Amino acid sequence: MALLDIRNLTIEIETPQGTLKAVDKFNITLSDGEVRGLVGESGSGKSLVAKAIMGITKDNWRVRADRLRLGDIDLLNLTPVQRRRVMGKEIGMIFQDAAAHLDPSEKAGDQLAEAIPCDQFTGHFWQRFNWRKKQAIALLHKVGVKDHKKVMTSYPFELSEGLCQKVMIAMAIAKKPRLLIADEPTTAMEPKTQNQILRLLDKLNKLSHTTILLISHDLETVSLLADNMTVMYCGQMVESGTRDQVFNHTHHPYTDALLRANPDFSQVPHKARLNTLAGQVPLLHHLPIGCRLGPRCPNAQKNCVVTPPMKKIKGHMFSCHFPLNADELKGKKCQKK
Amino acid sequence: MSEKITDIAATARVQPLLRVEKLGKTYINPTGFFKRETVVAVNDISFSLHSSETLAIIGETGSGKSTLARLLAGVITPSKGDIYIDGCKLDGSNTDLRCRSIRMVFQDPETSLNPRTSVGQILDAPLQLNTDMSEHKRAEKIAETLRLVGLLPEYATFYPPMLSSGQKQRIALARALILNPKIIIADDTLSTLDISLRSQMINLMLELQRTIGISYIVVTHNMGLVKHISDKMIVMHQGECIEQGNTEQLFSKPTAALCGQILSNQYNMKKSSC
Repeated sequence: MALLDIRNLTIEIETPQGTLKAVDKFNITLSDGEVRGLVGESGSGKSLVAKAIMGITKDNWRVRADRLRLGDIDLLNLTPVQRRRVMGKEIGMIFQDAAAHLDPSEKAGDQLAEAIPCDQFTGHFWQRFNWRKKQAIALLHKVGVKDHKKVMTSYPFELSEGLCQKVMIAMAIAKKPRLLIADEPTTAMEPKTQNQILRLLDKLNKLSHTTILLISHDLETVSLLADNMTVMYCGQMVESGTRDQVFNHTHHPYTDALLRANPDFSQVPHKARLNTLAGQVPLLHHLPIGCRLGPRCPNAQKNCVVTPPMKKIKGHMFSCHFPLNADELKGKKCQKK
Repeated sequence: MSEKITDIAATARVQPLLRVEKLGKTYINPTGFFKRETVVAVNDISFSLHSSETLAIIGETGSGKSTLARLLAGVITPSKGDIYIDGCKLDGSNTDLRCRSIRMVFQDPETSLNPRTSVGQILDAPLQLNTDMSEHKRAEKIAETLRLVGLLPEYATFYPPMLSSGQKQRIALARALILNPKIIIADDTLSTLDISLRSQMINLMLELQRTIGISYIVVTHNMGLVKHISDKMIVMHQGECIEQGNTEQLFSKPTAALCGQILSNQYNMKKSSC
């Protein structure tokens, strides 16, 4: 049974210049207990997808989908109150810049205690005294904070980046969510802290079977943790499959460019030119027609002005007219969507 | 001719472009009426940098690597030590020389460019303050610099919010380049960028180094990047330089235990989760 099932999610943003289609027909299916990586550059709409799942949309967004289900709940047909309950109970979210997302005027410990839901309490009424505080300390230990006294009594700006992120993760897992969305949890962190946070997420997935949607712009970071990954470009899904499929049997030129842009530096000659795609990610106002990678793609041809259909081979999905490693595709039955 | 070249090379070897001797910064914070607390942010750093070389400064957070970069750029004044450029000592009397020869690229281009001034005005400001070029010449120089970083001269009339983040990053680099500096300091500029954009910026920086011979001082924590672009590196820990030398040598044989630990952090990450 799929935990999260999204079919044809489209997000439109209304601006004074007209309606912009920020995410176009996005599909994703997460099974229970899996870690899914969602990779894309800034402006590819990966954070918008996360926010749409979470339900924290702005007034000028229009979110439409053929199907948006979390387990047996249909997220599209909920009243705001019900939606809020789902948001609070079933889905947890870790934001990118933890220090900025915590309230600077309240102690980190108090914020964490506030995030613990009351209905988790079991026991006699006199045990309620100090229950929240004890629970908060237990959570801090769970996310690998040893010095809980310092974290409980200090304000977010007094804590280091890594500690803030750990408090954030503790807040997200306080309600024991079924789905944890980690939106760039390790960006701009030093390797040591990055290491700790990724290991922590891995532990959460293995021990408590939390499904994790890991969003990042770094293919390398995602590949450390995720079993399956989805690559997005300009609001469209370009490739999706298992780690092995995406890394070793790449079909889309964009994924290939991402892989080659971040090579193993021990094998590249010193100060050599790195492989990269020319040009920049187009703005949402000036999206090219057809395949959105078209103008930057090294193997673009005349057909590329028509949007390529999503093809699926053994669970490996990609949308390209001229896929790379095409000889692997020969003789295999292609399922068009 | 060849004699001349070797001659120049020889003098260049004798006199490094940038020489730093026992540079240090100590903050004195009052903690009571008469009590004071001294915090040593950077202590006794000495190194030298030749032209077309890249120096990488690495270390954990709070190790003083950003402070060192800021000391070199002149954003904060050192409490001891000297900085020499081409053998000329930098002090209060020649800030002009420092302004022209060392420029800095700030961390976040989204916030370091004023959204209400056009790109042309942003690039014009350092020229107005540091040179006595005529308006016509300044416009020419701006167009030339914009072309150098891979943008069109028409971008001078654009405003920063109209540009994508990659273009903003190029403008930030153009602002550093416009005075023909000898050294550019990049404080953590590369690690926050998208991957393909980062590769583009690295290519651009390396190409400028090859053609114009600029030296870079790069502060970063991406070891792969350090290995790729730097010739020398300094490893810092709690304000002290614990290891210093040729990048290749340090990567293969780090002598200090802590240095090895910092270098291997990234490698471990790959191993542990697979």
